[in-house]
Amino acid sequence: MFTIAVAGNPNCGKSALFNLLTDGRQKVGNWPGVTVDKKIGRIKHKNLDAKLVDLPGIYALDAWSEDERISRDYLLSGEPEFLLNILDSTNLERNLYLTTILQEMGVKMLVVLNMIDIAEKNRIGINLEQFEKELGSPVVAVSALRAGSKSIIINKIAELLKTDNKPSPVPVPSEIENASEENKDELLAEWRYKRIENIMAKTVKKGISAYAQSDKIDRIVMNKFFGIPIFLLTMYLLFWLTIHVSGVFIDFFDIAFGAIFVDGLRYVLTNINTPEVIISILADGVGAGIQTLSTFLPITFSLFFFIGLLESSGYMARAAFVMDKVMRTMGLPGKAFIPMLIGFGCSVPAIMATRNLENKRDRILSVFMVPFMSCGARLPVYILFTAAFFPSNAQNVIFALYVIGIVLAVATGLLLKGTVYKGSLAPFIMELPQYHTPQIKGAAINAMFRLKAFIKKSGRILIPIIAILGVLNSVGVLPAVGKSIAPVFSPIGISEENWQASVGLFSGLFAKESIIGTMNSLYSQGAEKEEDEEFSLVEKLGEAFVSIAENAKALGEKIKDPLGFELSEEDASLFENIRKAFNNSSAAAFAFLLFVLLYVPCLSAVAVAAREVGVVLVLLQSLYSTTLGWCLAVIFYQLVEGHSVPSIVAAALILPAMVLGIVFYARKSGRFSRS
Amino acid sequence: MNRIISLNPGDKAVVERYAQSMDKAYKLKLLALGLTPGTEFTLVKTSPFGDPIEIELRGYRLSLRRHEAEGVLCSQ
Ligand SMILES: Nc1nc2c(ncn2[C@@H]2O[C@H](COP(=O)(O)OP(=O)(O)O)[C@@H](O)[C@H]2O)c(=O)[nH]1
Ligand SMILES: [Mg+2]
Repeated sequence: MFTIAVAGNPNCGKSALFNLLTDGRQKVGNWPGVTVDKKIGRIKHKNLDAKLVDLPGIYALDAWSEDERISRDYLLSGEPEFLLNILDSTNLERNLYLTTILQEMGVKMLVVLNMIDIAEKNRIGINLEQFEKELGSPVVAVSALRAGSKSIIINKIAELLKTDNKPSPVPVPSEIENASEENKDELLAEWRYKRIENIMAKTVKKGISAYAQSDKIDRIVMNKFFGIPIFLLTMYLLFWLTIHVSGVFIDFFDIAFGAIFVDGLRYVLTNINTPEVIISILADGVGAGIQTLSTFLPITFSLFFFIGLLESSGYMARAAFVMDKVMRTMGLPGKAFIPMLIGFGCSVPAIMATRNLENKRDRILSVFMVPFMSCGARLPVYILFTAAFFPSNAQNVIFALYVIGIVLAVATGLLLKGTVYKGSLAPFIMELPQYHTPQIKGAAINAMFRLKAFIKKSGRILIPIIAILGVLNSVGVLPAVGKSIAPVFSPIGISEENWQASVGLFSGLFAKESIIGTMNSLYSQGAEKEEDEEFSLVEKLGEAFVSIAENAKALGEKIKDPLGFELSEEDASLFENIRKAFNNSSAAAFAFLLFVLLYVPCLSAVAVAAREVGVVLVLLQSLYSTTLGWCLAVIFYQLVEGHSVPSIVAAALILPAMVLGIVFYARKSGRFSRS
Repeated sequence: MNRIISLNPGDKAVVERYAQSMDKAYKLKLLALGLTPGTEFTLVKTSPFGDPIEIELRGYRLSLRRHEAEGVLCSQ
C-alpha cells in the first residue's frame, strides 16, 4: 500500500494531525517525545487511500540519537514513498531545521505548517506563497483543531502525486562537505540556520511573544520560595484525589466482578451439573483472577486520568523541571519522580508510568525502585499490626516504614548507578510547554488507553497465575504450603506454630492487603464457618452499587477528618489472635512488617513490570527485594530479641552476596545495558 | 569567555564555540536546536533549585542542565 511517513519536532502536533487524518486515536500529550513506538494508521478518503506511519518526534536525523536513527533508517528504507513534514508555525525557525535536512536528502514531501490558529492569534504573519517559493518545497498551513484541515492536506498530497518528479536534493556547499572533522558539524548547522534565517527574513513577520501569559504564572509557580511548596502541594493533591476517588469504586468492582465471575459462574456451572474440579478451575481460578484484576481498574484509571489533566495543563513538565536536580543524584531524570510518586498509591500504574521515560536504563532503574514505595495495599497491614503492638506510637512506626522504603529505594538507585550504570546520564533537553486549560476529555481517553493496555497485557499473565493459585487454595493445599515454608521465617521471629502468618505472606502475593484477611480467617478457624447463603446475582450487584454510595459518604467524612482511621470491633479479637501468634513480641511484629514492606511486590505488579522490562529482570527484582527484606528482618529481629549469632552472620553474608551476584550478573549479561 | 554555569536570569550571551571535550551526540543536538556559533540567547528562568535552566533563542524556549551545557562557550 502507498505509504506516507509523518515527521516533525516533538510537540508540533504530529499526533493530533495523525488522529485527524486517520480518524483514529492516538495519545495526545504535552511531553516532548511522547511518541516512542511506531504508530500506524490509514487515510481513507475519496482522493487518497494510504498507510500513515508516525515517526518519533525528532529535531534532526543524526545517527547518534536512537529516535533520530530509527527515523533516518526508516526514511532511507524506501518503504515510505511520501513524507509529511509537520512544523509548529509558532516556532518556525527551529522546526525548519529538520525540513532543510529532508530537502538535502531529496525526499518527496509536503511541508505542513500546523498550529496556524495560534500563529494567527499571536499575529505571526506568514506570506505563504513567497514562503513556499523561498523554501522550495510545497507548503500548506493548517490547524489540527480545524476539521477542514484534513481535506486541505489530503487534496494537496493527491495533487502532488499526480506529477511524479522527485525533488532534486538541495546541495550542501563543497567547502562544508570537505571541512575537517572537528569543524564540520558546526559549519553545517550554521549554514542550515543561515538558509532558514534568510527565508524567515523575507517571508515571516514576527508576532507578539507567546510566552507572556505562561511567564506570569511561572513567576509564582517556579518561584525560588514558593516553587517547591507548590510542587509538594500539587503532588499531594494529585495523590489524595486519586486514592480517594478510586477508593469510592474499588468495592464496587470487587463485589460486582466477584458476583458475576466467581459466585455467578459457580452457580450456573453447578446448575448444569459441571464436575466440581472444572467449577473450581473456572470459578475459583479464572473467575477469581478476573476479580483481582478488576480491583486494579479504578486506581489505574484515576491515576492516569489525573496525571493526564496535570500533563495537559502544562504543569507536569514543570514538575519534572523542579525535580530534576533531586532525581539526578540517583542517576534519574526529573520526570522519573512520577512513577515513584504513583508508587505510594499502587505499584501497578507506577510501573506502567515508567513508559514515559525515554531511556531503557531509566525504566529499569525505576522498576527496581518503585516497589519500595509503600503502596496503599500495605497500609492496612501496617495499621493493624502497629495498632496491635505499638498502640502508643503507631504513627511513628508507620512513618518509619515509609521512610525505610524510600531510603532503600534511594540506596538501590545509588547502587545501580554506582555499579551497573556508571556512564553519565543522557543529557537533558526539554521544552516547557505553555499553560493550557486541562483537557478532561483528552485525559479520559488517555486513561482508557492505559486501562485497556493493562487489561490486555497483564491479564494474560495474571489471570492464569491467579487461577492456578486459586485452585490450590480451594482444594486446601495452602496450609500445607504455609507449614512447609514456615521454617524460612523462624529467624525473623515467626515461630513454626504461627504458620498462618506464612500463609498470609503467601496470599499477599496476590495483593498485599489480603495478608490480613487470610491470617484473620486462619486464626479464627475452627470457629463458625461462613454459611453458604443462597446466591442471588441481583442482590450482589445491588450491594456493589450500594458500596459506591457508602464509600462516597465515607469519603465525605474523611474530608472532614483527613488523617483519622478507625478500627472496628471485630478487629479486637484479631488483635488478640495476632498478639498470641507473635508471642507478644513487638520485635517480631516489626520484622514481619519490614518483610511485608520489602518482599516481592504483588503478582499484578510483577506482571506489568514483566511487560515493561522483561521477565528476567523482574524475577531479579523480586529476588533482590525479597532477599533484602528477609535479611533485614532477620538482622533486626535477632539483634533486638533473638540474639542468635549464626542467624545474624548468615543474613549479613547473604545480603552482600546477593547484591554482588546481581551486580555481577548485570554486568556480565548486559541485560541492563542502555539501548 | 563566559560559561552557562554562571549566568543569571535575565543575562544575555552569544555562543562562541563548543569545547573539544563536549559529548558529540549532545553537541549535535544543541546545534540542531539552534545553538550555533554566533547565536544570541537569554537565560529566562531557573528551577527553584537553580538548575536546570530555561533559555530563549531563535524565538523559542529550551531547558538545559547547567553543567551539561558547560562545553558551550559563550561571551556576554
Ligand atoms: N491550538 C492548537 N493546538 C494544537 C494543534 N495541534 C496540536 N495541538 C496541541 O499541541 C499539543 C501537542 O500535540 P501532539 O499532537 O501531542 O504533538 P506531537 O508531540 O507532535 O505528537 C497537544 O496539546 C495538542 O492538543 C493545533 O493545530 N492548534
Ligand atoms: Mg505525539
